[in-house]
Amino acid sequence: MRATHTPRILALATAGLLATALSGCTGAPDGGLDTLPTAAPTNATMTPAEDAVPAPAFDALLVDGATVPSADLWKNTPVILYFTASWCTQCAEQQDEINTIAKDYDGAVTVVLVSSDDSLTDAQKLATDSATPGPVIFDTGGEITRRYAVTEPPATAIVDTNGGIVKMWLGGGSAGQIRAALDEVVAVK
Amino acid sequence: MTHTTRTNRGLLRGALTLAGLGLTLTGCTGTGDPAHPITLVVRDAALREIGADCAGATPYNYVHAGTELRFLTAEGTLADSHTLSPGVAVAADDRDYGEATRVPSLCRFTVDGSALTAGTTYTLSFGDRKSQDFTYQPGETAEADPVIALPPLGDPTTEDTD
Repeated sequence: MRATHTPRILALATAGLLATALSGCTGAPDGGLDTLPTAAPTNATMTPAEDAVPAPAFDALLVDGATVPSADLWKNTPVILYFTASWCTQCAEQQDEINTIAKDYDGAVTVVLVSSDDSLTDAQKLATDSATPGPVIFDTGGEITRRYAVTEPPATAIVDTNGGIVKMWLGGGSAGQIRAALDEVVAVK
Repeated sequence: MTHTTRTNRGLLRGALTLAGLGLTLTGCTGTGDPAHPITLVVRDAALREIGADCAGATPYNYVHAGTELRFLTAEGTLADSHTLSPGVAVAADDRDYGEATRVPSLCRFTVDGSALTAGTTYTLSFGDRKSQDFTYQPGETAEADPVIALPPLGDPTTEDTD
């Protein structure tokens, strides 16, 4: 009996170790669906802007393969929609400021990157290297970028919880501009 | 229908002259002063801060830092290739835009043509995207350095002027 069971036990153990090792190597990439808030934060009050223009709708393909309708991106918090790419030197500088802003708003603002990278691998690398706290969209074919009339990254849009564009800056907004626009639509308690 | 007018050609050539002048004045080539510089100018007229890093704007988004620019011979063999560094925004024209920080601009890259043969025509490709032909004619002076214009400038000596 023992001689018969030993190979099976070994095989099961080997399979278990292999699965563990693979999951460790191929864990979900940064910037995936799990970075999107699932509920409105309790530490903030949202006040959608009255004069905001509707943000163009789209289906977002995230770098982990999940697809999300744009309305789900901003239904719980205002969004800093940041058009960027791994090769964009100006974008990297502004990303640091955006990360600081996100930290200051303590979960009351979601940062969503729209990557213009040529490949999913590059977009996934951007998600990791940028240390962005929110989801990263792989804008394959540049469709979302075109819908927002962005000709070249960086560009930044603030979208409120009603799906309205509060402000948008081609070339990217300064930290002061972004904070001022956010303060119109969200107040952290 | 597809021919540019003389006026447009004049403006475009003026813009490229400005780009070349900027290159000369700054002495900055973006890739560390190559021995035989070739200027690649993306004529996208996008609004940028002059001197800022740039990439090709729509519809030239495929021209950016990290893109591999290849020079292919008529036989299709690879003669030379360069990975582009970030471009530099140069003024598209000489108009006064007042206090505007972002003005119409072109995105200028520089690559080294040392490995190319004078008088030879190459087909360019950006990544996997084949582009236009380019005949390498190294200049005697910095002002005469060869320029790759994207899209290419029309040749007024061969165009139909009807």
